[in-house]
Amino acid sequence: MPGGRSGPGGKSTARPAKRAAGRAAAGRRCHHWCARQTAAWGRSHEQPRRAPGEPGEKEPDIRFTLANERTFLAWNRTALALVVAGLGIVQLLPPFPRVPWGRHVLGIPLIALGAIVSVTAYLEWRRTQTAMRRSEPVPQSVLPRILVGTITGVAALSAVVLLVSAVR
Amino acid sequence: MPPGQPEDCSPDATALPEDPEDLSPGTAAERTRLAWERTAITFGVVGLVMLRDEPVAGLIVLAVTPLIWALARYVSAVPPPGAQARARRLLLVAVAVTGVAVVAAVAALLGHGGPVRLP
Repeated sequence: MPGGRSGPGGKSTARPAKRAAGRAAAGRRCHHWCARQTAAWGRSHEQPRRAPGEPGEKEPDIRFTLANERTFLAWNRTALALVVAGLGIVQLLPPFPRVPWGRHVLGIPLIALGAIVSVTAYLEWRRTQTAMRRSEPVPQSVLPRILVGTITGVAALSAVVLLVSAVR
Repeated sequence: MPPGQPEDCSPDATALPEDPEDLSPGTAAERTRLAWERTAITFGVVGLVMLRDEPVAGLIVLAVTPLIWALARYVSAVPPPGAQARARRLLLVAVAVTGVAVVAAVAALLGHGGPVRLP
């Protein structure tokens, strides 16, 4: 799965006082731009801003927001890689003998998957962010299932195209 | 610690936190900025790949790259952007990636003996 760290899981509300203390201590030791950043976060952590949504929601710890953002960005890089893979199949592979549209049959689903992954990644990011604001469990992502399903389908399709190309 | 009190920077002043990130919370922002920059670089690579056979589509994608790079700069702004600004920014990335996919699909359908032929 792309992305560095996983989402916050259920530990977002655990030991907040100790975490805040550790963060404050670490912020004092930090001597470059992150010190200013940490100070700004510290303020937002101590007095949680109200979210623009429903009453009762509050912004989660900025680090969980950033982790969620990194996951979104990682999925978008995956989407771009899928688009490049699809384009590479269409533009760089030599045509399959006797299967003139073989490259398009394989490449275009990958490009379409790129678009789907990107849009779904945004919807997932929003869902996760809302769950964190409400202190609810983070929902399970559907993206790995979409990715596995489509890649398996494209792999099966390439086997069919290769077989037809060889046999006919 | 109340303001004005001298800082204690000795290594054993505080116990090791349970979460290693507490030692240096700025790294979360730095990792995120790097993730943004990787995404912008990926955009550039996609543009260059497209430039090879579809110059117009490649130039469109390359034109989006500085936008993503500018968003990467914005993420390290102090104070951090609000919830709505963040959501708008990510929506912009999702729209840009979807746009790239649409441009790539059109290029693939029209060129290289694709099923769609222009009159």
